[in-house]
Amino acid sequence: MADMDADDFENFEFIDYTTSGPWEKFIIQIESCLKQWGLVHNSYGVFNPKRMPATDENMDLDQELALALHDNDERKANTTTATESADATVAKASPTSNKAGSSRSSGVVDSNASQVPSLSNVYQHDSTVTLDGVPYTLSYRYHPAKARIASGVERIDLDFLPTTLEGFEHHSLHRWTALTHILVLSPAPDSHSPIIDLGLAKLLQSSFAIAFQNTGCNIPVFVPTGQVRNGTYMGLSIQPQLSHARNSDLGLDEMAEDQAIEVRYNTLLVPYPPAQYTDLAGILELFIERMGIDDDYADMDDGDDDTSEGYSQQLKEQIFVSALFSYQLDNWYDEDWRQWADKGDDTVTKSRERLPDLPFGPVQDPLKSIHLVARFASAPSTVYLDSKNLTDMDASQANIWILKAIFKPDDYGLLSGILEDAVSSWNVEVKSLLGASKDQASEKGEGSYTSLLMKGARLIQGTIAMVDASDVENIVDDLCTTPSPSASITPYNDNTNAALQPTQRQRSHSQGTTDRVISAAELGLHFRRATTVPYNSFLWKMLRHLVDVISPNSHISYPTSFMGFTKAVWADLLMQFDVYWERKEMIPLIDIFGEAVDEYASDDDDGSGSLIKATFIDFRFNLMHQKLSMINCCISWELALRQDEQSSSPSPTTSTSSSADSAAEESSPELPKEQPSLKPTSVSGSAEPGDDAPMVATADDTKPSDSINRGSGAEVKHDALAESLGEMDINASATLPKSTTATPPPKDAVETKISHHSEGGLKPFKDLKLLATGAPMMVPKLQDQGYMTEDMIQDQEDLLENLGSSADAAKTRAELQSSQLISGKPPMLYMGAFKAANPGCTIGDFIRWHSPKDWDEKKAQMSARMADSGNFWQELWEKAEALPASKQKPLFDHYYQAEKALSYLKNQTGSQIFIQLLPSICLLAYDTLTSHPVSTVSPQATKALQELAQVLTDFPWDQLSATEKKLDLEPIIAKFKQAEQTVGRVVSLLRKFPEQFSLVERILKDSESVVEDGTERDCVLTVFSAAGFAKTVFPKPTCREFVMETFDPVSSPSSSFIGAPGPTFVTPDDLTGWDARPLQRRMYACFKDSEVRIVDAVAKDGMFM
Amino acid sequence: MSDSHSSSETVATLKLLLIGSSGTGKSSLLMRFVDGVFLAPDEISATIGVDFKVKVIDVEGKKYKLTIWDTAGQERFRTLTSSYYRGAQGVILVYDVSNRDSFNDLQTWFNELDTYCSSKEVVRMIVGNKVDKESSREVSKQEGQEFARKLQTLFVECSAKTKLGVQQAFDELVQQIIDTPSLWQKQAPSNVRLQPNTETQEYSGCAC
Repeated sequence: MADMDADDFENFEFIDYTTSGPWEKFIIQIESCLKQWGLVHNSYGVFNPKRMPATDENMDLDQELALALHDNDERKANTTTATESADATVAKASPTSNKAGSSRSSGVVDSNASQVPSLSNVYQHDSTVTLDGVPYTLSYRYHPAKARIASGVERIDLDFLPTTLEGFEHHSLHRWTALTHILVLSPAPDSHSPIIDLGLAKLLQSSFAIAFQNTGCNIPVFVPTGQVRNGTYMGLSIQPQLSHARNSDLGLDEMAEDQAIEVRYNTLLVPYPPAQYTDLAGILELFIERMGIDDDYADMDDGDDDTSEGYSQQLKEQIFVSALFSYQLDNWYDEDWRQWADKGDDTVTKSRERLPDLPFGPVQDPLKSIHLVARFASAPSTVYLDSKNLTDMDASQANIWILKAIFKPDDYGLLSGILEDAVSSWNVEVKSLLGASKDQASEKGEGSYTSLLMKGARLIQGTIAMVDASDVENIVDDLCTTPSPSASITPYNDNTNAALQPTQRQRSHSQGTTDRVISAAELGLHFRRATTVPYNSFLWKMLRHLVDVISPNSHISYPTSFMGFTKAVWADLLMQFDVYWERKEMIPLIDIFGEAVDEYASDDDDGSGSLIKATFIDFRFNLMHQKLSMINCCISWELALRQDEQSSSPSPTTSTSSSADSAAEESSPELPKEQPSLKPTSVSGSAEPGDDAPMVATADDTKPSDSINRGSGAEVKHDALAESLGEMDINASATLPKSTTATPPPKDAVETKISHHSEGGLKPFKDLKLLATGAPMMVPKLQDQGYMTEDMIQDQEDLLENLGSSADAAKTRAELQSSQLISGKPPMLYMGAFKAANPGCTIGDFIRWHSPKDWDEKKAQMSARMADSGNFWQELWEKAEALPASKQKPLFDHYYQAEKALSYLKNQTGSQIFIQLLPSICLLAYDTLTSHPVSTVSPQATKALQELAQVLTDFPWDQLSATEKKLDLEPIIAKFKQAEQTVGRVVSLLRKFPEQFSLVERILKDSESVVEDGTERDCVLTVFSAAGFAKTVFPKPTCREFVMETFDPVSSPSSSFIGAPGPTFVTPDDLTGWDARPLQRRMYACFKDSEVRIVDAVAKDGMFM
Repeated sequence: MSDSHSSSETVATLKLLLIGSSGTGKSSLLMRFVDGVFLAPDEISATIGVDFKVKVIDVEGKKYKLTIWDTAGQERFRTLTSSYYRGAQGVILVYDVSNRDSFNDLQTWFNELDTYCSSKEVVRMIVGNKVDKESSREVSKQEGQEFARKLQTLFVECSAKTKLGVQQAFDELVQQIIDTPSLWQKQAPSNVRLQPNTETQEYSGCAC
C-alpha cells in the first residue's frame, strides 16, 4: 500500500473506497492532516527548523557547530527517527560524533525545505480527526530549542528541553523525550470518553503506523493513556524506507539504510516508588532491565567490582547519564527588601533630604522564589555515584548552574497607584463640578484600583475634603522657610551634579553598555513646551509634599484626596504669596537669575565677553511658575528701586567710577547716580565691568546662599547695562576705562556749550559729536522694558495680529510700538531720552546712534528712507519730548504686574492648578525612580526608564484642559507601573545577590541564567546555604531528573548541552565505518513530589522485525 | 498660537519670521512676495518693532495661511522682536549681497534665533537679497552657500526688485515646514532651549 501515484488513476482502474470502514477513514484523516502540515517524506513541514529565523551568514564557530548539529539531528530524525527518533536530542556535541551520526543518517531534508514557512510564534497546529464518531484532536507541536541554538540565540539544554521557551508553555513531552517535533493525539475536549484505554491506544497507534508508512512522516505520535492528569503517554515513530540521502554539509555520502526503524515510547508513573528506585543506581538497573541490554562484559570482569549489582562496570560505562536537579528557595519575608546597600549613594540622596520620599515598586518583595537548576553533564554512568546510602550528586558537584527567579504576579505599583489616585481625585472633582458625579465612566475607572489603602482615601475624598490644618501648616512652613532666596540657584547646580553622578556610577557598574537615564530636571525640558516646573523649585517642592499626602508612607494624619489637600495648601500659599509681595521678600526657590548666558555672549561679536546673568522669566516652565517668577521680578524691581533711592540720596553725584568698579561685595549705596532711571532694569545680570565680571558671575553660581549676592547682583546689572550701552565698538576689557570715564557726569562740558544741560546721559557715544553743536554725543539712559510672562506676550502678539494686515493696521502697529502703549522699546521714549541727554541734537544724531546703517558718514546724511520727508521716524522725532528716562512714565508697572500675577494665581481653580501641575507630578514620579541608584546599574531598569521618559516626552501635555471630562493617563500610568516593577525587581534581586549586577541582569532579561563560576557561584551558594537547613549545604532538590541513554550496539552519546562551559565528556570517537545502525535506548526519569515518572524510548530496527 | 487663526479652509497657519540687519530688504521681500510690488528698502520706512503680512498659499491642493512677521533690523530694537520668535515654524535670515556687514551679521542673528526659537526643528533659510546689484556685490554666492552649509540651513539668493527667486524661497521654506509635520501639527515637540529674555543682546551691534 505504498505510493499512490497519480499515474495509477490513468490506468482506468477503479478503486473502490466506498466500503472503507471507520478505521480506514480515520487513517485517511490522519494522512490528510499530516499532508496538510507537510509531514511527508521526513519533512518537518510547517515546523521545519530550516525555515526558522536562523541564517547561515555570519555565524561564529559555535553557531556553525550548533547548526551542523542541528542538521545532523534533523537528518537523523529524517532517516532514523523510525527507530531512533528518541535520540534526536542526543545531539552530538562534537564534530566527530557528527560524522558518526552522518555515517548512518541519510535523510534528505532539502527536498522539503521550501515548504510553507512556519510562523515563528506558532508552536502548535491542531486538527480534529474522528474515529467511529469519537472526535480526537491531533496536534503537531514544535519546540523551538534547536532553531534557537542554531541561530545562536542562546544555549539550551537539549537533553532537558525547557518547558517554557519563547514565552510559550510547551508540552511536557518535549522535555520527557527531548523531541522538538511531536504529534499528540488526544481526545477532543468535547469528547465523551476522555480516557483512552490501552487497547484503544494501541489501535490508534497502529493507525498512525500505517499513516506514517503511507506518508513518510517520521514525527513520533503520542497518545495519552489512562488518567489525563497522570500525563502518561505511549508513543510511536516510524522511519519508513528511504531512498538516498546526502549528508552534503559534512561532505559525506552515505547510503541510507533500507529498513525502517521503529521507536516505541512508554511512560511509567509510579507514585511512592520503592526505595530502590529513588536513586540513580536503582533506576540504572531498571534501565538495563527494561532495555533488555545484555551484559556482554559480565563474565569478563567478574571479580572487579559491582558488589551489589549484577552488571559490570564496562556495561555501565556504556550508559551515559545526565541529570538535572532542581532546587527551589521560596523567598523569605524581608521587610527591608528595598534596602539598597550600595555605598556612596548618599551623595545622590542628599539633595532631597528634607523632602518626603515617594515609595515605588510593589508593596512587598516581588520575588516569589528562586530556582536553581544543577545540571550534571552527560557522562558514563559510573561517573556519578548516587545510591541508597551514598550520593555525591549534589548541586555543588554539578557542572552547570542555572538560576531562575519567579516573581509574584502582583500588578500593583505604589507609585503608579499614587498617580492613579491623584488623577482620580481630580476626575471626581471635575465631575462634581460638572454636576455629573455619577458618571459611569468613573465607576469603571475606579474598579481598576486594587489597593485598599487607596480606597480608604477615596472614600473620604468626595466633595468635601477633610484636612488637618496642622498638616497644611507644616507643608506651608516648610516651603516658605526655605532659607535664602539665593538658594534658588542651588537646585540647578544640584541637579547637574545629580545628572553627572549616574553617568559616573553607571560606568563603573554596567560596563558602559547602557545609555544614560535622562535626569528629571532635564526631562522636564523635553516635555511639551512650558508644561513643567523647574526641578527643586518652589512648586516642585510643593508637589512633593502634596503627592506625599496620598502616598501610603505619608505621615499625614488624615488620609485625604489629592485635590482636597492641594486646595487647602494652595489657599494658604496664596496668602503667603501676598505676604511676600507686601514685604517685598522674594519667594523662595523661584529662580529669576538664570544660568549664566555664556556661549552666545562670548562668540557674539556684540557680546561683552563676560558672563552675563540676567533676571528673567523662564518661558521653559509653566505659567504658574512664570507668574511666580513675575512676582519675584517685581519684588526685585522694587528692591532695586529702593536701593537706588537710598544710594542716590546720600551720594548724588559722587558715585563715581571708583565705586562702580569696586567689587561686588560693596553694597548698593555705591550705585552710580545715573542708575535710578535705568535701575528698574534689573535685567542684565551680574556682569561687572571689566575684570571683575567673571569673578562675580562665578560667585553667584557657587555661593548660592551668600546673602550679599542678591544685592550685588542687582547692583552689578546696572554696570552691565551701562557697559553694554557703551561697548558698541569694543570688547569688554576696553569698556572698563570707558565706563569709568563715562560715569562722572559730563555736565560741565555740555553746559559750557549749551544753554540747557544734558540730562540722563550715560557716557559719550564713541567719539561722535553732535551735528549741530559739536558736543559729545551722549548715550542716554533708557528705561528697561520690564518683564512679560508668556500669556502676556501672547496677548500682545494677538493684539498686533488682530489689527489685520491692512496698511492702516500696519500704521497703527507702528504707532503702538513707538510709544509706551505696548511693552517693548518704544522709539519715542528713546528719542526723548536721547534729546534730554543731548541738548541741541537733531534726528540725524539720533539715527547715528540708533541705526548707524541709516547714516552715510561720507555724505553726512541720513539714508533715503530716513530722510524721506513723510517718514514716520521724523514724525516721531517731532513728537518726542525731551525727557530723561527717569522722568518718563515707567514702561513697566511692577505694582500692577505683581498684583496681576497674584490675581492670576488666585483665580486658578483647583482643577486648573491640577492640570498645570500634572506634568510636573509625573516628572516628580519619574524622578523618584531615576533617583534610585538602581536606575544606573541595571540596563534593564535603564531601559524601562528610558521608555518611560519617551512616553512622558511624547504625551501631549499642552493639550490638557481643565475641563477635560475624562483624563486618559492610562498609557502613562501603565508605563510607570512597568518601570517601577522592573526597578523593584532589580532592587529585590540585588538584595539577594548583592553586587551581582551581571547575574541579576541576565536573570531579568531571560528569566533565567547560567551562573558563572567564581563570585557569582559563591554568591548563589551563600544564598541557598543560608536558607538551606540540611547539613549538606543545599536543601533537598525539589526535583531530580535523569536521562540515561545507550546504543545498541554501543555508540557515542555525549553532552548535548551546547556551548556549555562545563567539561565535555568525551565520546569514543571515530565511529566512521560502523556498519550496524546503533539503536538508541533512552530513559528519562523524573523524581518529584514523591513519585517517579519514567519515559523510555526503545528503538528497534525493522530489519530484524 | 497661530492655530487660533486657522480658518476652516486652511489646513494650518504657519508663522514665518524675517530677520536680518537693517536695510537688507526684509520688508521689500515681504512686499514682493505678498503684494507683488517692489519698493526699495530706501523707500520703505524702517520697520518699527514688528509688522506682519498674511498670505494664503496652495500647496498640493491644500491651503496654508502664512503670517509672515517682518522685524526691525535696527540694533536698538532687537529684543523687542525676540518675543516674536515664539511659535515660528520658519525663519528667513536675510542679508544683502552688496553689503558685507549684513552678511557678517548673520552669525549674530543666527545665535539669536538659536536662543529664542522655541523649537529646534524650526526651518531656517538664509536668503541673500539684492542680487540685482551684481555690480556692487560684496558677498559671493559661494560664501553664502558655505555659510548656510555650516549652519545647516536652506540657502537661496534672490532679488526683491526683479522678483528673482522670491517666490521660490518662500515656497521652499513652506514646503520644508509642511514636510515636518511635528512643527505645525499641534503635537509639536519642543526641545526648548529658551534663554532668558535678556537685555544683553539689545545692543548687540554688528561689528560694523
